[in-house]
Amino acid sequence: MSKITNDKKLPLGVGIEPSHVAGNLSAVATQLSGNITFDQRQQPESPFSVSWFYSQTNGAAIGTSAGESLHFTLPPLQDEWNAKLVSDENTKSITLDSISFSFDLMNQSKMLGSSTGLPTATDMNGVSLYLYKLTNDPGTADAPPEKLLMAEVVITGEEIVGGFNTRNPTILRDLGISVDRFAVYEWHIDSTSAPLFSVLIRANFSHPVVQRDTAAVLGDALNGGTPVDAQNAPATALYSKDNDTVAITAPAADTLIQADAAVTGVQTQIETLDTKFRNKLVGGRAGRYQADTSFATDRKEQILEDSSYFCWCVNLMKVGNDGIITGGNVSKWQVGYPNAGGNTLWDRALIPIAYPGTIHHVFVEAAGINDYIRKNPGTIALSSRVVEVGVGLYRGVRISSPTYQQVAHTSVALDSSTGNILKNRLWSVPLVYSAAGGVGGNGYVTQGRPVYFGRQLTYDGTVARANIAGSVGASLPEAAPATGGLENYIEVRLTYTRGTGASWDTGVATDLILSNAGFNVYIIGKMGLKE
Amino acid sequence: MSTRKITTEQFSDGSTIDGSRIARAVTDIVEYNNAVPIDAVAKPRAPQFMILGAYPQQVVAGAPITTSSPWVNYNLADAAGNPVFRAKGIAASETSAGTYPTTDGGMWTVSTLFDRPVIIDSVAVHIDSWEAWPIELTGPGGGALDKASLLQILIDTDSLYAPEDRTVNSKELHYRQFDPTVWHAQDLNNAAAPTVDMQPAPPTKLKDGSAVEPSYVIERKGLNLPIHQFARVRFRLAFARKDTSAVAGTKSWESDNGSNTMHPGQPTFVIVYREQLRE
Repeated sequence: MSKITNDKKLPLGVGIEPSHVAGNLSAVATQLSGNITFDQRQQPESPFSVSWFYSQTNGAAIGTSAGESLHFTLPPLQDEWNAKLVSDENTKSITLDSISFSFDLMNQSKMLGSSTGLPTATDMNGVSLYLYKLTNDPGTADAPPEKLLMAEVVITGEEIVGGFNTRNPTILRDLGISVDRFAVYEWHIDSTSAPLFSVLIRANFSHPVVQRDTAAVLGDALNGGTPVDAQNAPATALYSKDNDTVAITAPAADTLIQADAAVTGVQTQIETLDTKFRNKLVGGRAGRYQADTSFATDRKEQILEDSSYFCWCVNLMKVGNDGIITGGNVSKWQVGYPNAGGNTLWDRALIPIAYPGTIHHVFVEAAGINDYIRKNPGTIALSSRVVEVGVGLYRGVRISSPTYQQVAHTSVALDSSTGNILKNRLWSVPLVYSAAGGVGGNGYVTQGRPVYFGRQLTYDGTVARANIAGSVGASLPEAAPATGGLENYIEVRLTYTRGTGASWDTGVATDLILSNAGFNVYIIGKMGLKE
Repeated sequence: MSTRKITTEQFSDGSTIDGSRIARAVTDIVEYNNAVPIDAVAKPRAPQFMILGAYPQQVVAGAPITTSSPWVNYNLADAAGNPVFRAKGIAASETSAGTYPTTDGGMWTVSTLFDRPVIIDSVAVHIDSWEAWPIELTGPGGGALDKASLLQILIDTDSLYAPEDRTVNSKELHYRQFDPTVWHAQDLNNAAAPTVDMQPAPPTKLKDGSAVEPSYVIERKGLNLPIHQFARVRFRLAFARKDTSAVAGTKSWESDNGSNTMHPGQPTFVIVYREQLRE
């Protein structure tokens, strides 16, 4: 706790001493030297939102072939990780603040035909969205997960048909629901008999502001107090704390109290502090771009915590379809692939690096493998369905020789227990690390330290960045990043492969390979606060 | 000079500097320091990302599909059969015969409600070309030889007073008729080493130059569009445009085969916005 106590109160009848004034002001000056912490800020909570998308839902109930749901978890960052997987005194709390829910009904009141996408003659029904907390992790042959209802968003059919204010999009706000950091949560949409097109669930959470991943922060958390860089981090001189130096000089005892005297005047000293606040307190060194040169005129930092927690949901393979998806619905998009002959479905997402940050955890969710498919996989067993996901830094998106740096990667069959958090559904994707040395990271699986990403201004074409491992469990030591510190996008790739060698549609046209929920890749980390 | 933020007490030479005023000023300052308000913080907003994606469906025998979700028609027929346009500012799709179709496709709308003010920071759209998607990404521009993007990016907010009347929406951003060549992304690196630049490896067509046309990676950053509290915001991608093709009956999606056959592959639609810290 960094709040200060006014312990130099001026009592009646006692001669004023320098410490009565300069003592307290000096304590404030010390705070302004990079030590303003979150507990002394009126607004210490940074919002973050996660957005889940469906191209089209089927409108089916739980337990049917197309009943589908989404799962997520919001674990602590690596620097506050607890290996016992329980929250402790260092674990920040996350609060669910609001849920926004919407779908595209084409500005009208009738149901859309599931196969036509056009209004039908039937009025729209009510639509509900449920948020559950799962309380067990059932196996494939067990009943669906047990769960607790946390929140429910309801749009009645009448509200839509009335046509004045359809509550689409709608919001449920001021929830104040505390999120269990090691639990799995589930969304479920219930839209009786009516398919929904272009569905968006956007949940808004808050998490206290945090320090960026300087070598000091990661060293304390991961390396016994010895500073260690994030992988791919900018040079220490450009990324470590660059604290302001504010000082108050106490006047000599028994001298006159003066207002405007240089250095020791009461007004002079108060103005020194007032000017700092008036110019606004700074935390963080980079803007949209990281510079490769330290500028003497850079504003120094007064604030300790300059970053926010984020969780991106990268929506992949969201197949809009009339009902469940068989091999025939997607076989056209199977790709000839270096190591698997045309039996692979492929999707990727490109995310602009709008601002710098660090990646701490990556998860992949086979959201389209609903409980029905888990129990009834048909001739394509879950063990023959392999999802491979990779996250990388992408340099040179519009130039002729782009380069990549791997950040995270895994390949799991849907019955795999490696890094599994929810059976057949949710896996932790390890960040790259070297088996040949280097400081490791924290997480559900053996993985590397956080990985920095950020666009860089460079004046000579070369940028010094900290070393990074080449792959997960790389045999070579950490080395300079292949992107040379000039990444400008984050790329997420995902493949879904039929492991038996046959293509998805060969002879199994009736087998359900996926529901409309597709796959979600969650990227969790810290990102700098901005103007 | 004067003290303006941390205390209202002012001291100057020649005026009284008594203990009670000093004590009051110091107390003000300590209290201010212990509860720093947001207007004293230079960077008070957290960037947030919406990363949306869609994947094309494929029609199979016995399951006729005539739509291409999440892309649905951008105009519909009213009771009199006249077209109703769903998005203010998106040009109506006009056939070369001069009539407006009412079942034409081509708009992906995703909406949300912000319960606090936000600032839209950046918008990015990525469309790959490894498969021969049926959609045309470019069409005739203003001149005979140039080309303009058929893709339009539109952000609009519903009116607070008539939220269901799209004709009174506020247009926050409309990016259209741009030269698409500036957003073309090259094929991925097909150099001998590394053979696989990142795991999992991409489809061969994204690497060997055999893609039908370049991928698009469009990014508009630094938009700084303020969005008011409780705004219902609609983010749209549209392929609607007046057709100028010589093919009779060709629609905005450049096909005679209906909107179900049309889709621009596997787009990524990213919206970045900033929201203020809270208590």
